[in-house]
Amino acid sequence: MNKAQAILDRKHEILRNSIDVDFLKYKRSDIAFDYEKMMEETGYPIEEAIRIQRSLGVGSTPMLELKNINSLIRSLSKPEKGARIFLKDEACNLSGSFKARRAAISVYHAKKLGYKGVMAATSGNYGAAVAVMCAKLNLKCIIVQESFDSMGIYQPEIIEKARAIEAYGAEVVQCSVGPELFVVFLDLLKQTGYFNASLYSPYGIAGLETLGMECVDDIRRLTKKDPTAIVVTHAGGGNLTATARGAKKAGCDCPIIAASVDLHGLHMASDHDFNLKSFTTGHTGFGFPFAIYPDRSDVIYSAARPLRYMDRYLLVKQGEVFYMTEALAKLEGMERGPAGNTSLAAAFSLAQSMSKDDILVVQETEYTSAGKHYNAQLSFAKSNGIEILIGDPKGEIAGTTIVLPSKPSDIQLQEVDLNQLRRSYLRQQLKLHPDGVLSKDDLIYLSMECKVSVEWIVSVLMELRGE
Amino acid sequence: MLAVKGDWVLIEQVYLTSDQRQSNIPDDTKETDFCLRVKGFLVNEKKVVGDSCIILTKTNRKIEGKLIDIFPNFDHSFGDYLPETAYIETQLKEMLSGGLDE
Repeated sequence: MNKAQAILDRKHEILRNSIDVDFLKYKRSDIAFDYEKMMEETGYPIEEAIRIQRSLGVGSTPMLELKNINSLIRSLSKPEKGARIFLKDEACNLSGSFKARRAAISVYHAKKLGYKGVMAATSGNYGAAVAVMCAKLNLKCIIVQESFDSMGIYQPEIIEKARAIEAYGAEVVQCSVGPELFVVFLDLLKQTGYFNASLYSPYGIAGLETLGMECVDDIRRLTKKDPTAIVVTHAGGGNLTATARGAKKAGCDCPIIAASVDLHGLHMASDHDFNLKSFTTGHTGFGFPFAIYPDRSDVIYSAARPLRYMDRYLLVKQGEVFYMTEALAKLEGMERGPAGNTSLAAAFSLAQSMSKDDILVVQETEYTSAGKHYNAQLSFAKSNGIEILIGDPKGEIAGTTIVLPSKPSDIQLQEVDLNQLRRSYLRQQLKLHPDGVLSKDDLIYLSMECKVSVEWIVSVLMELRGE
Repeated sequence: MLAVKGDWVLIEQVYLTSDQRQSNIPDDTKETDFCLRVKGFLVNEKKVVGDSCIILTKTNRKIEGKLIDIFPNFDHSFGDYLPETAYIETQLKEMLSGGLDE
């Protein structure tokens, strides 16, 4: 048997030793598990998460009204239209992103349980976030990231993330392209006995619920109203799930709108395509697969379950996000992102169709820097033969062109048909359990997973099975 | 270039050869070895770039691989000046001041 398979065969045992959640305790059938019970018994109550985060210098970030961008939105909108956008400046967290909230709870928990070190598999801001919290709580830390292609060329944004992780004293294990990163991650968990600070654990989600709650509390304080909707950059599903759960805990049931950068056409596991992406997260390469199959993650049952909370799903193009990133710097004095500005680009378009009395919350920013900056990304794209054009971004072809909108009204979101996504989710379930007889409990579970009625689930399942 | 014991270096390790890779990955990826790169302090007395060597990482792990850089630094940047983006600022400011109608 080859080395990779030998490690994968021990996956459950390794994961069980690296995180103290007894996932299988919540199993109800081959399909269903008790999600709410898992979250209740294994996460942290939100009051405690807030207390831990305060002690670690995380949270209570500014909520800023984007007054100049809002003026621009009004100037482009029909009379009585043009919602006001408020932006939660999560870049103000230690490590420069909302990921500090997730890391704070996971690393605090690892320390409490007596682990000597913490690991995370991430090419994103989460690496620096975990490194910061490990520095503060005096734990060892290894971050495993997908970094370079077979020519040894690194994505500049990931170089910056490695730099930040090292700056905070952690070890970085960089991998070439491919899903075998997970094998390395398991191998290192086994060798080191460290805690798995998975983005998909109940701790990672509990830590981020505070963001959803703060968004609602901030808006109530500033406007005496509830947010009309919250727009969330969507990748692995944790940001969306936790924001929605936090908002609900604040007593606000407003729609939660997902936004991703459209990278259709690029294969996420392709060595050739790896450096043709100008976004390393917040894109459809994560957003779609994690919505359709949340349990593809590094835990047995993922606590991030986006379709349970998603009310709409909007796509924007790379060029549109870069344009909005420049607008945020030049009109609001906020040099941020770009990946975190995905939801801002979607909100800019969406706000124009909403009432002028509406409040649209964009719930994150991230720090920018060398490598991450959109100028660095556009330069890198050009060096890879991608053409930078000015025109109608709808014509952008990921990996071939980046089209900067010729004018702001060219920023036009595309709506994803959520029912198609739900059908894909159900198709995946049927693929995993081809002979399974679905009980009433399974059907209720699936309806909650997809945020639809049991009747809808039954009719689509019948159709998919050709009955 | 010569590295001596205790120098901060970067190594590359072939973790899986191309024939050991997972079956469900794109062909272009499957043709390549799956490699790791890790930094640490050189354990051997003397090594040159290209040699096989052992390092001690920040988490006190001893690992073996090919020496590929000595005193690795970060030189990523903010990219080049891009004439393609210059219009954005002008356009936004003019629109905001009412000077430019779409």
